[in-house]
Order: sequence, then C-alpha cells, then structure tokens
Amino acid sequence: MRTDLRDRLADLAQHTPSGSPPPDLWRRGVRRHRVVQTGRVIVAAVLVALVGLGGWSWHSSRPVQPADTHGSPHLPDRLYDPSPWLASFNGPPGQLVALLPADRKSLFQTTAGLVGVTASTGQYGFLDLPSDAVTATPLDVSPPSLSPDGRHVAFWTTGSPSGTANTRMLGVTITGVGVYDSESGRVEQAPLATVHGLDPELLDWADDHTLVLGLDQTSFGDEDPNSCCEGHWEGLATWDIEGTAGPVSLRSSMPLFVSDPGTSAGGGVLVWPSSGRRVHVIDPVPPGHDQPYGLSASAEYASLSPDHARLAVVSNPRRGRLLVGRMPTSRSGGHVPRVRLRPATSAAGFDRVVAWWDDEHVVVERRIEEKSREAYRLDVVDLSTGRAHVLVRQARTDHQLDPTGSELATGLLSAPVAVATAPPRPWDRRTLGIVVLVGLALLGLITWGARAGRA
Amino acid sequence: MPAGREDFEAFVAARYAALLRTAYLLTGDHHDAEDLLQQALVRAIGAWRRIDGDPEPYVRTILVRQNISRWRRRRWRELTTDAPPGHPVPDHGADDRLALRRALGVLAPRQRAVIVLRYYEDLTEAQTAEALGIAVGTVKSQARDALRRLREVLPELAESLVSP
Repeated sequence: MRTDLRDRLADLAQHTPSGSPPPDLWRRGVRRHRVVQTGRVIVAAVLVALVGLGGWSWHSSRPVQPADTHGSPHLPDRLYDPSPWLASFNGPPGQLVALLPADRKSLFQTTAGLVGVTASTGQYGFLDLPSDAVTATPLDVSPPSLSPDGRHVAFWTTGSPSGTANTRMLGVTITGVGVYDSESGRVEQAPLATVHGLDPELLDWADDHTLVLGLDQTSFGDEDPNSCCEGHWEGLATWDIEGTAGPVSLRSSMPLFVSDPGTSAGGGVLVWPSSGRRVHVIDPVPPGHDQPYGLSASAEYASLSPDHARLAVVSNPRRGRLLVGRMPTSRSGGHVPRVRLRPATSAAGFDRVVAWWDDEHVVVERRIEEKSREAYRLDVVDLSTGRAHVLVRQARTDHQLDPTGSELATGLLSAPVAVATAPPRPWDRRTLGIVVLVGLALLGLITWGARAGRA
Repeated sequence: MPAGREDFEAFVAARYAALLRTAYLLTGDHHDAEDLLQQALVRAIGAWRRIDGDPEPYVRTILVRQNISRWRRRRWRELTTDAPPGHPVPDHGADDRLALRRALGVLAPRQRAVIVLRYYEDLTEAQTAEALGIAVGTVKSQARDALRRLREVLPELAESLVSP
C-alpha cells in the first residue's frame, strides 16, 4: 500500500479514462463569447437607463429653488396644469403671479394642494402652508385668495370652536383665517369667534393689504342629527394685514348672499351685484359704507374701474355680454343712482369680469370649448374699439373644483407678458418603482440566463 | 503568446489529456471531468487573445473555479455512487485508487482543489491561492483541514509524506 499522497494522486490520474477534445470547441467558445458580450451590453444599457431614469426623476422632483425676488414680475401667457408629483418650493417662493389648486400625490395618499407660480421666473411649486390651512376648494367654500400684488395668500383655517364642532357641513370645522407671506414665508393667523364653526362665503382682497371676509355661522353642531347644514349670516369683516388689529366687522344690515360668484373685491372696494338690476359698492374700511346703484341691465359679475368712474359687468350667463357704464357722480333726491350700461364689444360668451387692466381696458374670462385643450382664457377688451386680444391661456385642470379656483394676481395683469415655460412633470413614483423593478427583474433574468448557460 | 484558433487548437491537442486528469481528480467522474474541461476551454476562448504567456495556468484557474461553481449549483441533485468510473482495468492498485477516490469525495470542492493543485500539480501555496482566488492563509487552512479528513478516511497516509 502506497502511503505518499502525491504518488497516489498521480496513480489515480494516470488511470483516468482517456478522452479527445471535440472538434467544435473553438466555434462554441466564439459563440459563447458573443453571447456574453451581448449580455454585458444589455446589462450596461439597462443600468444606464435605470440610473438616468432615477437621476431625471430626482432632478424633476427636487425642491424648486425660490425665485429671484429682485427680478421684475411677468405675466405668463399660459398657465399649465401642474403635476401632482411636483415638488414644493425650497423656502419662500417670492412674489406670485398665480395660484392653482391641484392634487398633491405621495406614495400612499392624495391631498388637496396649492401650487404657486412665481412672478419673476414663472416657476411652479407647491406652497407649504400650515397643516390647518384649507386648500381644498369645495364649491361652497371660497378658495384661497392671492393678493393683487402677489405677495400674500389668504386661506381659511380649521380648529376647535367654542361649542360642539360641525364637521358634517364642510367635512372640516373652519374657525379662522390665515395669511401666508410669499416673500418671507411667515404665516399670520386670526381665529374668529364661532360656536360650531364657520361657513365661509367670501375671501378676497380689496387691495394689496386689505382682506375682505364674508362669514356665515353654522347653527348646529354634530350632536344634532337633523340639522347639519343650517347657518346664519354673520356679516362682512375686513382685515388690514399691515395693521395691528385682527379682522374687524363691517356694519352691514344687508343679508348678503355673498356666495354669489359675482361678488368681488378689488380697486379698494367690494362690488356685489345683488339680485335684479342692482349693484352694491361697499367700502371695506370700517364702518363699511354701502352704496347701492341701479343698473339698466342685470349683472352677474361686476368690477369697478381703478378711478371708480366706470363699472364693467357681464350681463347674463347665457349671452355673456360685456357691458360698461359710467358711475353717476351725484345723487338726486334720495333715489338710488342708476348706471346706464352699454355693450363694450359685439363679442359675447364671456364668463366673468376679472379686473380692469387700466382705465380703458377690462380683463374678462372666457370658457373654452370642452374639446379644446384650454379650459379658460383671459381676454383684454379695449373699451374704445371693442377689440379683444388674448392675455393668458389656462390649461384644462380636471381636478379643479371651482372655475374661479385659479387666482391671478390682478395687480400684475398689466405686467409684461412672458412666454411661459411648462413646469416639470416628474414621473409617478409608483410607475417609476415598477420600471425599476422590471429593470431589476430583467437584470436578474439576464444574470440567471448567463449562469445557466455556463452550467 | 496565444494568437488565435491555431494556437488554441495546438494547445488543446498538447494539453487536453493532462488537463483531463486534473479535471478527473477534481470531479471524481470521467464524464463530469470532460464536461468541466470543455467548459473551461470554451470560456478561455473569450480571453484567448489577451492571455500573456503560457495559457495553462489561466485554463487551470477556470477549471478549479468552475468546478467549485458547478458543485454549488449541482450539489442538491448530486448522486454519489460506489461504482468506479468508466470501465476500470483490473489491476492490483485498483483498491488504492478506489479508496483515494472515495476519500477525495468527502472533501469540500475547495479543499479538493487545494489538494489537487498542491499535491498533484505541485503548485506553491501562492500559485494555488492565485488559481483559486483566495488568500495564502486560506490555502494553508484548507490544506490542513483536507489532509486531516483524508487521514481519517485513509489512515495509511504517512504524516511526513503529505506535509508540504
């Protein structure tokens, strides 16, 4: 018996049955080499695609840098439908030219968000408002409002009322109002006295720093199952955000139904076209002088010129005619002064008066045909010639709940018009995840196939 | 320096039998040895033009590493048999060979590769480590463990004759 391992290994190897190499080894080797090279190219391509996709997605969804606050403001010629995966601003966005209500999606939920468009650069980004801000705009709640200079955003806030809360009417209990300063990022909130919660009717800016509120008080709390949705008129209030006092009530004996969409503030006053041929011009400075005017035609929407000398109205929802009349300068014998309205243009189909562009031009909103790509369009009508030109187009927003939900800074309507750049449209993170998983599965299959091929 | 198909085929013609013996010691089965060697040669063709110098160490490296990979993939379905491989020719050393073959079969593939490279191919520890892609210290420990197990199965192996 041999005891040396080397000898015994050599002996065992010597008795290995002989074999001869197959003649096609070289061909098999070349073919295998080509397959391996092709697999490597595919794997590299998939990896590059995945890395590129991830990088692009990251770049699209990273926080939007704040606008240069020293840049001059521009009015974009188009407002785009923002992506629900849009990022928020990385800090205060600066002066805004528009507010757009938009769905905001995360991996697991969809919430109502508010997108701001910066005035100097036209960037889009979600505004990070406080968690108690009401950004959803159901039809019976006035949406967040942008000040004419684009520097403040007003919104309703939720909270706990002094009595039993009513959550069934609106889904939330509104107990106050807040203002977001888009240049500093500061938020100032003012709680409003309420027992069961508020049913807000109006939230609009009379000028750059005067906010006008229209309030209903909810009459019942959730404890009464039979009376969920009744309220009573609380009245108008104003809030000078540059002053030290909070919201102050205006003396108003009128049971205003200011939820009428024709009610608007601007030019330092609140203009309310009441039912019939009448319009009220209300001074938002306490005590709140109310001057009614008779009209020669019924008005759905009305707006007073900057010099308060003329009134523009959209007459009728069917015909949508734009009428203009000069405001009477003197009152006679205690009668309600009357405004004689005349057509400003032969065109029709306008939805509302947005604001006065200057003393001779009015900005009106027009709804576009449903099959068109645009949902709304703002036209400027020259009152001296009756001609109109397009000012801003707004893309269709399927999730926009209120036609007036998109807010423009009316003080910037006469700013230079800039060609708008479409905001980034980050990929749906869920789609991105699926693509990555498919890519990884493909890599796994290729790797597995290569290993199986070697076996 | 290998250049192309002619060099490859010349190398195969010259070294096929020797490499087949190494493959047989690694696998313990003639058919597996032929499969293993042919796979190693096919894989070597992809890098054939880049091999600098003698291609045999490169092919041997593929051989031992591929055998370990094969064992990992196939061990769940591996069936061992007491039957000797091929058609053995009766002779008085057959019992020794059968005993050694069985003893090698109880080793893990890396231990087996270390034994074959160190005591059949007469590679140094450093060369064995390079061929297997492991550290020299690992070669030493693998060799020590393998020899201990071999002596458990083959007590007749002399202590002094298996030391490096």
